Amino acid sequence: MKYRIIVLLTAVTTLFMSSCIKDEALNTEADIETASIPHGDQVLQVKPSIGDDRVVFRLKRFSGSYLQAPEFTLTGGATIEPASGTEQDFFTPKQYKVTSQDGVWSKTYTVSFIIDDVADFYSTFENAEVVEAKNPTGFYHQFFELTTNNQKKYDWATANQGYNMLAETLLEPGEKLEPSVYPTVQVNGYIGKGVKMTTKSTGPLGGMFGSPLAAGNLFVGNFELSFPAINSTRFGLPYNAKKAPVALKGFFKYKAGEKFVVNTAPSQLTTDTWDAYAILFEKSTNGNDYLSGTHAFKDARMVSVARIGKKEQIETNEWTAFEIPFSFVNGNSFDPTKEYMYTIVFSSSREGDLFNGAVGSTLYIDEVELVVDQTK
Amino acid sequence: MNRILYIVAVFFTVVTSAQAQERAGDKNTNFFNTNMDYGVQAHFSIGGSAPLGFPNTIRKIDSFNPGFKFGLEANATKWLDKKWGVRVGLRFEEKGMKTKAKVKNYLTEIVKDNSKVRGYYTGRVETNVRNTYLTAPVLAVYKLADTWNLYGGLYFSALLDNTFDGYVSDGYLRQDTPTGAKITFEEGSQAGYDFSDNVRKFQWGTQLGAEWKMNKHFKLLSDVTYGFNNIFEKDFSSIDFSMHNIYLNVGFGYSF
Repeated sequence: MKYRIIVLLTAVTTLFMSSCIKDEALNTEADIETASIPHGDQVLQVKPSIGDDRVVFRLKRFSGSYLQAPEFTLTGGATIEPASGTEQDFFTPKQYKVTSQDGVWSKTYTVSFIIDDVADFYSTFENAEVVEAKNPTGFYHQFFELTTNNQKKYDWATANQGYNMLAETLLEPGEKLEPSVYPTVQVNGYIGKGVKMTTKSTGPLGGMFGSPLAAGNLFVGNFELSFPAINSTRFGLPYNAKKAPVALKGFFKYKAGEKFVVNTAPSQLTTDTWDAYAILFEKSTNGNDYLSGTHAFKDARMVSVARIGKKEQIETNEWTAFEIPFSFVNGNSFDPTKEYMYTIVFSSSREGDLFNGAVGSTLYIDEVELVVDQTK
Repeated sequence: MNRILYIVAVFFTVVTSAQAQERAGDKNTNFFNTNMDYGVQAHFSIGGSAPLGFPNTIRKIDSFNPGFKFGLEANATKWLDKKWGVRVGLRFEEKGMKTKAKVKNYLTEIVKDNSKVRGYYTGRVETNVRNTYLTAPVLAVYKLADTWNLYGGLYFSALLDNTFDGYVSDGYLRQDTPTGAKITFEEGSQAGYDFSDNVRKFQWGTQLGAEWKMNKHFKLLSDVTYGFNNIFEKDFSSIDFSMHNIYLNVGFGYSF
């Protein structure tokens, strides 16, 4: 009897509450949700990458001009200026302003078209810009390379944007928000500038957000903030060479942090060490082009893999060369008629993808080259 | 479970002492045994901690579960004349609910220790409230008929124990502003929140109800309570609207 009353009252209350729902407010967000160009399947290497304030189209080849009329879909009700479908000369990047449906909020995107048909896989890390994040405030490095006509391309990504969510809450007394407090930062390298990666604590909130540790990382691909955090790293860019890669070369320095912490058991390690690997994988014909952060070297699209071994995973204060050979996996071989993607990944904690590592582990990397088979 | 045992123990203590008092009062007449009714009652509550007028950020209530929230009260009614009386009491009560809602652009904060992330959340929110109060009602009682009493007045509550927590899932948080960094909660993953430490320790409100006497000793009763205060402390800013305790109680009582 009593339970029947509860059921009845629950129903009445729920009904009553539903009737209290007010009219929906106008949308306040101002995002570019999708971007496309006519015949994109034919002329683009990959789907356009859409970041927080940046859209990059990668063209397969130069067609004689940079006149393009990109089309955008936006948050419901939002507007964009210049309008979607407006033809412009993208010899230099263009700015687009998206305004929310309620008119209160807006965001400016930089839209660029880059042509990257040269198979140059040598990275010097000489160029980094400071990203000035607004919400939340933050200042961190983003590496870029210049194409032949001086366009910035952001082949190397980091998880700095993810760290920035909590960066302000993680400052030690006396520290201020500047690129050096982030996990990945440009510093002096073996030649000119290089990259420093540091495994960082993410504090009490990091655990709640599913990332109890932030290994410093650097990878070829895109970073798109997601939760669980591991889904944010999207490995891979189009592979333009007509031969298979044979080795990954570069220079490093490494110092492991003191206390190795296992957040995801079991761990294969008892002390921290660094990681470097490269993967050549087939471009999927549908769905996601990239390899997700959870690939664990088990993705069926993998063709060839190079991964650092115990011999090189040493601690050293001196710049030390490494060269890791590629080996074919899954019984695959290189087929020049197929479309491939590649990624290169560095991490200051080898099990950083499992959030296992030692706070303070520091990896320096410079002069990285993906060596491609030059023989006929 | 311990809490329920605790409440039951207090209940029996009150009943026993009330009976003892009654027996003691046989010998002579005084304020406490003249035109005085002593009673004990039990009720269950259904209701919630809810905003007064839903903000437009709440888009849909997917489910609402009041749970089985229990209260026990001992009270004394002094009849001033044939119609009017004054009742004071003491009760232990649980107030709580579990809701699942869909929200859009809902300003919230995810806090742990001294770190917090603030932003606008769109997606699912599950909220779990369970507060235990020690409450003193002060009520006027009006005898409508031989078998019916109406009562109404104020109550004052002290928080004994509380939970106000939950999690967000299947949605995203825009950090700081609606155009801020977008943190997406995919694949049914969730981030928890816990505002238990921010629940106000003292509450007061109003109570209105009626009771029906089945016979000399037993009665059925029902009332509504409405809390005047926001259930959260004054400086709490993780939710940008105030929530009030609004409950319907249904129960039975025993008069000595």
